[in-house]
Amino acid sequence: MEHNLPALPINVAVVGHSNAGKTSLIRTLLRDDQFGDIDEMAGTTRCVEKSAILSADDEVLDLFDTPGFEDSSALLQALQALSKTVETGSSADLLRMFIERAEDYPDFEQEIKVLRQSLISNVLLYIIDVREPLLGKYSDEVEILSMAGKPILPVFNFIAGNSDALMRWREQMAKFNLHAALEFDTVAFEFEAEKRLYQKLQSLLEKHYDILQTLIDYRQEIWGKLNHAAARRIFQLIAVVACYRREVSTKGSPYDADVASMQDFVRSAEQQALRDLLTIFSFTQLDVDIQQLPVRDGEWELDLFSPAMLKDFGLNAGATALKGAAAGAGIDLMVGGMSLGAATMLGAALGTGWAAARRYQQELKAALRGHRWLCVDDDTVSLLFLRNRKLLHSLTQRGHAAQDKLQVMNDIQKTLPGRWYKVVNTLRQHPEWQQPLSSDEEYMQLQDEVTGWLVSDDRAV
Amino acid sequence: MAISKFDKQLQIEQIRYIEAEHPLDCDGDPGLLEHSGQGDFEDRLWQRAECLVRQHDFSALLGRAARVARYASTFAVMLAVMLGALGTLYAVTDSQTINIYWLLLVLLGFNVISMLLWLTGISLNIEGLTSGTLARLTSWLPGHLESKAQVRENLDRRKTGMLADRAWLACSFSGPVGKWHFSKISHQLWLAYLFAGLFFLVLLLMVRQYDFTWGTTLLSDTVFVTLTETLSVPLDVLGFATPSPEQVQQTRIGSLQEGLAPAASAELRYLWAQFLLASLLCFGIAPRIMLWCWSLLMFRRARRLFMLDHYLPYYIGLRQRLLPLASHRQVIDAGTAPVDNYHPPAPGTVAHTLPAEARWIAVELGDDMHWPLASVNVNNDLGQVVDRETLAKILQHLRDNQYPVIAIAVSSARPPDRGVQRTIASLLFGAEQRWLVLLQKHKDEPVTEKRLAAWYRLAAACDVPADHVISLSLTQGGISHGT
Repeated sequence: MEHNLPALPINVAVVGHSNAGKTSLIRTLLRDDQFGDIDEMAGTTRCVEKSAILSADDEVLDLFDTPGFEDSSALLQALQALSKTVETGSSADLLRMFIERAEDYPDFEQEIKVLRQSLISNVLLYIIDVREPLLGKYSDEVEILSMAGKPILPVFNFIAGNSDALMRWREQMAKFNLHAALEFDTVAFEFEAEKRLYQKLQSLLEKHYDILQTLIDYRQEIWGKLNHAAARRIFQLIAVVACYRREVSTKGSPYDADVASMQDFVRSAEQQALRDLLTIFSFTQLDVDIQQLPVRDGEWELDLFSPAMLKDFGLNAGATALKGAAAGAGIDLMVGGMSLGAATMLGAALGTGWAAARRYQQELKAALRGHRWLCVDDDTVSLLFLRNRKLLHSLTQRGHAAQDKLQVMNDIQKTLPGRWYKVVNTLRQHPEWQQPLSSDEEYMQLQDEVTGWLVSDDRAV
Repeated sequence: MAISKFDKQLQIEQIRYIEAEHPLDCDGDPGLLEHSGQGDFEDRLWQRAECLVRQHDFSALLGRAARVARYASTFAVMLAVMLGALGTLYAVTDSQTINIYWLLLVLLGFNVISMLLWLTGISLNIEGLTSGTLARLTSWLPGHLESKAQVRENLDRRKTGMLADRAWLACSFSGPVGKWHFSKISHQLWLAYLFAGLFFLVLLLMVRQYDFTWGTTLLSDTVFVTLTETLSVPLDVLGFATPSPEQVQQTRIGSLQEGLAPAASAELRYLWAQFLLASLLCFGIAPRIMLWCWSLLMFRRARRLFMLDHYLPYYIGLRQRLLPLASHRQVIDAGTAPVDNYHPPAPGTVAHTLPAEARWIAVELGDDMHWPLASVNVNNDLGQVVDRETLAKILQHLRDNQYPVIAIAVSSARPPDRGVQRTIASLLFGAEQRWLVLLQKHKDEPVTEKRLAAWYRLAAACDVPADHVISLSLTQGGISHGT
């Protein structure tokens, strides 16, 4: 059976008064802070520009950024005047006729572009800056746009901290029967709001319901992956820093140089993580101001009794002892049992000794030389975690239209997860994990645990 | 031959390791980085990797580790064959008499112990028992290669090769792939050892005559009789001839074999030889073949299930380039109006005072500015324009009453547009003196240069002299001159 599939892509005209945030909305949806020009002056966008939102290879939504309305009251008067002189079947025909006579209306070049695009689009996103007063010109804009005969979805922008204004605008739109509206702050971004945008489009464009659902699922999946990737990157940073240790001599004065080297290591690791986090969310270094991390030194100590250590060492020692015993048993057999199993015992003992020597050789050497281990102290690791958790939270709530810089500060007074110090302690007992991306099972478990905190811990931030 | 999914992933990983040190460009195929690739994300990664391999002539470098591994594997198999052969020769060439259980122990004893250790390791997931020395060698090699790579930083080609080798080792010898790879290799080597032992044993038994004996000092005789009986059960089922308990007793050292008839003695030798060879096949080679097959299947499965870590920032970045969420912009209706390059004049130096008879009109002030201002005489206030009706009403009033001085109050925080300009121009039409008052909520409210310039541009367009553009702070209440 042949299905009559709706034509793709869906054409979405992004319209509204100048400076309402049309280009900002598109930037945020595209995750591209280079799209278009954003300026505080009216008439920044002077042409119609097309971009597409893709679901894998499919172009699902074509977004058309249009110039802003600047003189809707005069335009409405001109349209009303034209309607008195010509006979048209519908208000959309009147708009078409007006566009055909564009040369007679040179002042409305921008507005005519908006009308032309509105007539060939499937849906209109009418962007509203809720900080603006309720002026007659905005009502005129809605009246003109409704003449195109296309579904209109009002999108309330700059809603953060403007709840009263938002309420007034909602009531105003209701007067035009535009009850289905969307709150979408292009600066204080929320992925849920983006999802709601597509869901509203689903209700307005029912025949495109399935393809829009595919798009929602795709975007949700990618968003989840980005969050997860960022959380994992933070864990890797924490692991690299917590696992850091440096053998230092207790005599002489090279200690300061060692501390400085440790500080450089930590700061450079954080810078590298920051670059990766910004790349993950398609931002650049220009988006962030980072305060220098205060790095304090601590002394690394071996915790022989940590459960992870015991389990890890026990398994390795057991395996090596077994192999030693097997080799010894071979010797016992070769001498026809004359050794009464002594070789087996000796083999097991040698195996255990070998495992211990292999695991603790560096610690033993340092102890013999009278050296100690320098590491990053707990407070520094905790602060690193807190400020990167805050950074992650801020990046996930930053629209690509945001112009101000994100501040990564040190004055964060938030609680740490309950098992935080246990995790850090476990990390510290594994200096070998300083090589990132260890495939060790225990490392993976810790990674999952910390990633889980970061991805789901919105309230803590 | 089609390249397997794992081999593709391996090559992609090798490129990742190389690019971690120095990113590579795919100059010849610019379209590859655009939204023009085919297939899913990994297909595109593979196309990109192929392109980089072609451009930088990496194919020999990337295949080096696998080549070396093949040589090493061949060498190890040859060594195992040699050891198996030597073991057999050493155990049976000393004399004409073979201690049957000793030979079994030499050929099968270590094999069984190693098999048991491997099974323990696999069931308890202890890496040290399943892979042993091989694993340690390969876990040491990547680190070693990395440090070598750092030392030879100036030798780019060698460094690239070492990074590729490191990636190859990391993919092939870690995680589930590594576990089953090690298992496969270890069973393979034991099979080579056992086959060599079997071959030489058959050879020797064919060309030389051996008498089989056994003996014990500590254990009772029944132990070996029972052991032989037990071992014979599966061999009998498989159709091999095995010695009976009496024949086992007859073979014990010190038994009077000399009294046996030559035919019975030959039969005894034949039975023991069959028992020996069948034991080697059943308890050595057959289980190893089964374990090897299992390891091979699991190894292939692990390779099939192998996944690239798409959460790495490297892959996230590539996904954004190879499989973007959005396509590039395209201008479809260009603007034709020239860009206005108006620059505001410098603030006037001569102080001007707004005449007392000035009539005030506010234009779209906004909800946060109360109109009329306290400092404006109610009689001089003509109202605020908020829509077409209020504009029409005020214009009508202006037409009815000719006012020589008109002051337009606007909010400096809001950007002027063409509509506001038309409104102000129509309000100032006919006025002899025109003023533009930029209202600020408070003195410190920021007004950017650009916005100020826009208001000056509007003033110029409405024939308001630059020194008639003044700022007024609502909290200050007074009137001050141009900024």
